[in-house]
Amino acid sequence: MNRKTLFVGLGSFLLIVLVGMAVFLFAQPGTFRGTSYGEPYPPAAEIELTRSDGSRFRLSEMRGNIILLFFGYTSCPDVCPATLAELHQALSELNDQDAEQVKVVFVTVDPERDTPDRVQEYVDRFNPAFIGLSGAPAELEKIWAEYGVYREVADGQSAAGYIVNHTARVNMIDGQGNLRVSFSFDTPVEDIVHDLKLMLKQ
Amino acid sequence: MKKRVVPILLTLLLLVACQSSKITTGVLEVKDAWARPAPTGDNGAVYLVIENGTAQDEVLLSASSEVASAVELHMSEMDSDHMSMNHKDEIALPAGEATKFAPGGLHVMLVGLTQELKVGDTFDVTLDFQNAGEKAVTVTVMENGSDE
Repeated sequence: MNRKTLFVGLGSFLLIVLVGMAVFLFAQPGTFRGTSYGEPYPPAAEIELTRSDGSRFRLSEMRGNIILLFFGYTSCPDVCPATLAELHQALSELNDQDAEQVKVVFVTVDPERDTPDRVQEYVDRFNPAFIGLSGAPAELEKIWAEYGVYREVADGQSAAGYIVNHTARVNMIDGQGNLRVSFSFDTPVEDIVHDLKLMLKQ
Repeated sequence: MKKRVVPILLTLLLLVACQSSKITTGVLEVKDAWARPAPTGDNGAVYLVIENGTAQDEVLLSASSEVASAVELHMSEMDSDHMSMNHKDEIALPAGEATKFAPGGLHVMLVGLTQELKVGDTFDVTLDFQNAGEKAVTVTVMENGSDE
């Protein structure tokens, strides 16, 4: 090995070390890994729907809890089960006290097929503490619009009848009822756990 | 002499590295098939890996199973935040490549389960390939696949 190679090698090594240090220093522990909402945080719109047990669910009555809100439907074979399984996995990585403060709320985008009973049964399969909600199309349309939920009914794609293509983001709402972070479908579970722990500290 | 050995060795290493990314087992193999638990009447999805170790491009034409009233090939596709699920008439399996069916992407959709899928259960799905013909695959029911 000649001198030039040695210098180039040493130089690259130093550069890597410097970049590594910079990444370490600037990636503060206080930053969310999901997509953060900017300040002032937008208040999460009210969701008021009747649960399968006949009680009335009001998002505004959930203050003090961290809410993970997801829109999906029970005939969905792939993305919805994957998301609910991941949220369950994320909660199981928190201690019991922390996990109890986090409520997962699943709102249907398919009221024609999803009754409140059916949605609750569906989410129970992943975690009996999850809250599954449906309602009249008019009630739900207002909620979808307020949360910017894209929803498209696609016919002829499956023997399952129609498919509902929809937004696959999970929204995290803080204890004051503000939208704080959203997670795209491909967010790793460890990032959701990281953000939940951070949110619980605030 | 020494100067020449290094590039030759590097070239050889590179060749080995390139070779190993191509699957050259000479056979078409289906691996790691799993599905989530689900009750009768619901829809489900089977995830698996198809390794086409042959020198010939292959095509997956269809799938069937006794546990569902219909079985379809689907692909979930994400366009910014919008997830859409599209029916696939066939799925290309290029020679020497592994094609992964995983959550949020390709999956074998089970429409209308005729039996409950419980954790630990196994069931068969038959895949119909253009060249290899029909192949039965054993699917294991589990909460999360090995890749999650």
